[in-house]
This record gives sequence, structure tokens and C-alpha cells, in this order.
Amino acid sequence: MAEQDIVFYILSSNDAGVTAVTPSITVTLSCIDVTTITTTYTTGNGVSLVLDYTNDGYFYKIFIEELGTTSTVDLSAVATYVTDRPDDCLSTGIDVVSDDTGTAPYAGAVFSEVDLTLTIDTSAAFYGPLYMKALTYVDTVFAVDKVLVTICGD
Amino acid sequence: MISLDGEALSPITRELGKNNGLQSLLSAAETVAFFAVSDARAECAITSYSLYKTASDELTSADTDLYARLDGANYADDG
Repeated sequence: MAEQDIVFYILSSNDAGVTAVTPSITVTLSCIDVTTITTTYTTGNGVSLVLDYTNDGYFYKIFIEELGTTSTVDLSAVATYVTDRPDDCLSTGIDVVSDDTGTAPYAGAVFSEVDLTLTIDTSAAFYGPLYMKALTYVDTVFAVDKVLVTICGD
Repeated sequence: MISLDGEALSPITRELGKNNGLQSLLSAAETVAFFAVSDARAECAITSYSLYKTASDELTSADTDLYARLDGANYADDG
């Protein structure tokens, strides 16, 4: 089932007990049958900070050679995020999360993400994983990718 | 007297999903615009809005099916 309708009504009332009810309000939920999302690294993506790197389960590597202020990465250029309904149900976005379970939001201050742009605070050295969760309309359907990030190091 | 107004003069349809993700369905202002009150006195003003699944079945916080996807936080809940 690709779509499902929910029908409801809104009743208004005042303190005198006078009421009015709207006609039917029908909400069509679409993309409720999405069951998978697959992220695929884009080789040769042209993003200068991103390196091909698949060791130890890492999806790719972000390498920032020197300390600075902030750097950004266009995540839409680095990977594709495709559901099992690729024509009309794309990923709804990316969340930065705390680990590969994808259950908790990232609580640190180094990374933030808005509209598929990852912003990295490069003011201090960092070496470690970054977990990014590709979202779908269905809360339970997502993919988490682990990226190795190096700021001022190897 | 409270009467229907604006978009509520005929059945209303909305679509959620596809590439839009979860989104606001009806704002408070949109809900207000569905109704008109003939008497402008303050005591006649609409004081609450409630969501109903049918003419007699009110949506409550106990609903766990697809209706639970409707965020009724701005509507009265007698459940």
C-alpha cells in the first residue's frame, strides 16, 4: 500500500455550547510503504575535503589538514540516498547521530547539519567517527553511515 | 452562531509524505479561518477546537493508529 487516507473533522465550540463542525478533512499519507534506504558513496565527487576510505566500516573520510574556523561539506555531492521507491520517495534529510544505532542525536559541538550541508568546527584537533543518519518519511526506516573525520592530523 | 468559512465550505484534502517529510498540517490560523462567529461579543468567541474521527468519535491522546500521526496539541483533548 503506497498511500493511506486519514479522515477527520474539526469541531469548534464556545462557552455557550454553540458548535460547528468542518466538512471532512482528508489527509493522504504517502510513502508509507518505504522499507529501505541505501546510501551510496559517489566516487570522484569533487569535494576536496572528502577522501575515498572504506577501512573498518567507514563510509568515507573527511580530512581537514589544518586548524581553522569552520568547514562545510555538501553531503548531496558525496553520496546518494535512495529508497526502495526511488522515483517519488527520496530521503527526507540527514541527522547527525551519536552512534551507528541512530537512536540518539549527536550531542557534541564539532558537527552540525542543515539541508544536507555538514558544518564542521575546525578550531580544535579531532580524530574519530561521525555518524550520519539518512532519513525517510517512515521513522523506523533509515541508514546510518560512519565517516572518519580528521582535523589537524593524519 | 458559528458557521463554516473559507476552505471549510467544502471537503478539504491534504497530502503528507513523498519528499516533504513530516510537516505541519494545519496551523492555528488556518483552523481559525475555517469558522466564522456571527456575534462579535467576547463571550461568543470560539474557545476550543476538537478533532473527531467520525461525527461522534473524538480523537484522543490514547489513539495509537494512524490517527496518532495527527499532532493534536493545539486542539482540545477530552480523552
